[in-house]
Amino acid sequence: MISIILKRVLDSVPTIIIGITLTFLIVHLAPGDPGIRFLDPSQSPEIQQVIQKRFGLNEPLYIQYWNWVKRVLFHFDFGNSFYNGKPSSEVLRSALLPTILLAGCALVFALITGILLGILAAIRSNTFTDRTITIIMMLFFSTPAFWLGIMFLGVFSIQLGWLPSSHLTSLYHDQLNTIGRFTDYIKHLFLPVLTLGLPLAATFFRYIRSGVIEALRSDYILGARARGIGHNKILFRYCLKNSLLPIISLLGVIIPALLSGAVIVEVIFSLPGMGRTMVSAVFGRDYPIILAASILAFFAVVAGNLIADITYSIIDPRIRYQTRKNS
Amino acid sequence: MKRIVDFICSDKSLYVGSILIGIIIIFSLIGPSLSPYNYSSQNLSEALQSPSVSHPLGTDYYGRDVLARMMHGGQITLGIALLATTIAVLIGMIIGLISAFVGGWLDRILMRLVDIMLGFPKLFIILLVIGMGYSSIGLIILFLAIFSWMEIARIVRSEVLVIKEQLYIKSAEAIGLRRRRIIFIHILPNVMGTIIVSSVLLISTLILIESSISFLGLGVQPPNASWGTILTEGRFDPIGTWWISVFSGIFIIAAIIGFNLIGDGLRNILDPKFTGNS
Repeated sequence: MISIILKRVLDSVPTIIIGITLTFLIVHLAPGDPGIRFLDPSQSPEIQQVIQKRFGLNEPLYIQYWNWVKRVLFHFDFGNSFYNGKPSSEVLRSALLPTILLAGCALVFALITGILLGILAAIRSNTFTDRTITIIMMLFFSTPAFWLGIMFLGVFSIQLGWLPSSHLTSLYHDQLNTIGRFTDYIKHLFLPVLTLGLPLAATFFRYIRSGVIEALRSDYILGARARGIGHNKILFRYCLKNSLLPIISLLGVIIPALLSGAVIVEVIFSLPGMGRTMVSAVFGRDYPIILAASILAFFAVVAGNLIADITYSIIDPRIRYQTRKNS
Repeated sequence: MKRIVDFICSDKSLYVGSILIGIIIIFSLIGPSLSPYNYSSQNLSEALQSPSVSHPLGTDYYGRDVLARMMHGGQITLGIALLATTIAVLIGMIIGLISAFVGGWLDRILMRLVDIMLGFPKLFIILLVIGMGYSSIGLIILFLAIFSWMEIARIVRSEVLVIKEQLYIKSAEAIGLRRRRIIFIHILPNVMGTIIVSSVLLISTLILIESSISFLGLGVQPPNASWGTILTEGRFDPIGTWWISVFSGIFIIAAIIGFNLIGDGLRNILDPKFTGNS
C-alpha cells in the first residue's frame, strides 16, 4: 500500500513542475506591464524603470523564473503583493478559510442530496417520482452557477430579506457567543453552498441513479435477495457501495470544478475567498498573488487526484490485488 | 431529408434537444432581420422598461431592446462554442491518433500532457489567460479550444488502440494499404460516433464556460454581447431589472439542456449497451 502511495506521489512531481512553469510563463508573457499600471501616463520613463526594478521585472525572464523558484523552494516565500505589500502567503491564508468552508460544505451537501435522491429515483424508476426528480436534476445540471446565484440572491436576500447577501460574517460577528457565531456562518454560507452544491448534486444524482438501477438488476443482488437479506441492507450495503465507485474516481475532476465554481460563487456573494482574490489579482496584474494562488489550486487538484486514487484502491479490492500482483 | 427526420425522431432526448436547438438557431440567425431594433442602438428615453408589447423582453440601462440583444448574443455565444469545439475536436483527434499510432515515449509524453491539462481548474486558468491578454472573441475561441481537447484525445486514443488490433485492420495492413488510407477510411469512421457524442457535450460545456467568463467581465466585451455579457448587466439589481437576468439565463439554460439532450440521445442510439439516464 505504502509503495503505491509513494509511486503516485513521485508520479505527480513532474505534473506539478510543468504546471507551475506554464503558469509562470502565462503570467509573465501576457501583455500589460504591472509597472505601467501604477503610473500616471504623463510621468517619465525613468520612473517606470524604477518601479520595474523594484518588482524585479527588468531582468530577463529566465532569471526572474530562477529567482522566484529559489525563493519559493528554499524560503517558502511567494513574494509580496504588488498592491498592499503584504506577503502572498499571508493574503492567501486569510482567503483560504472561506473557500475551504464553501467548497467543503457544497461537496457534503451535494453528496447527501445526490445519493439520497439517486437511490429514491432508482427504486422508483420509471414512475412519476423518478421522472419528476430526474427532470428537476437535469435542470440543475444545466443551470450555470452564476444564474442560480443571482436568482437566489434576488429572491431570498433582496425580495424576501431572509438571508444576508454578502460576506462570510456579519459586522457584529465578534460580539456574538459561540452559537450565535455558528448560526451567523450558516446564514452567510447557506445560499453560496446551495449555488455551488446543486449542480454538483445533479452530477452525483445521474451516476448514483444509473449505478443503483444497474446494480438492482444484477445477479449478485438477486442472490442476496434469495438468501433473505433485508431490502435496506441490500440497497445501502451492496448497491450503493458499488455505485459510489465512479463518484470517487470523479473526485479528480470534481475538485477543479469546485474551485472554478467557487470563483463565480465568491464573486456573486462577495465572499473574501481564493476565487475573488484571484479575480481581483488578475484584473490588477498582481503577479505574486496570481502565481501563489494558481500553485495552491494546482496542488489542491493534484492532492485530490492522489486521494481519489488511494481511496479507490482501498475500497475496490480488485485494484488493490492487481497492483499487488504487478509490483 | 426524410432519413434525417426519422433518425431524429427515433430517440426522445434527441428529438426534444434538436427542437430546442433548432428554435434557438433560427431565433438567433433569422431573428435580427425581423426585429425593428438594432442590438446596439441606444435610446435613453426608453431605458429599463419592463417587458411590454413593443419590447417583449424589456430594455436595458441604455434603452437597448433586450430581445434584439438576445438574438445577437445567440449568434456570438453559439458561434464561439461551435468554433471552439471544432478546433478542440481537431486538436484532440490529431493528438489521439498520433498517441495511438506512434506509441512509445511520444504516447507517454502526450498522455502526461493530457493529465496535466485536465488537472488545471479550467475556468481558473482560462480566466487567468484571458484576463492577462486582450479579450477579443478570436482569442476566447482559441483559449477555450486549447483547454478542451484533452477528453477527445483520450477517447480517440483508447478507441483507436482497440480498433487497431482488430482483424480487418491487420488484414488491411497485410495487403499493403497505405497507413493514411487505413487511418482515414478504416479507422476514423468507426471512432466518429464517439467523437460526435463527446463534441456535442463539449459544446454545452463551452457555452457554460464562455458565459461564466463573460459574466465575470473578462469575456465578450460591449458593445458586442454574448448571453453571459447580457446577464452581467442585470446582475446588480436582480429584482428591479429582473427581465435582463432571467431571460438571458433562460436562453443559456435552454441551449445547454438542448445540447446535453442531443448528446444523450446520440449516445443512446450509437451505444445501445449504455443503460443511460434521462
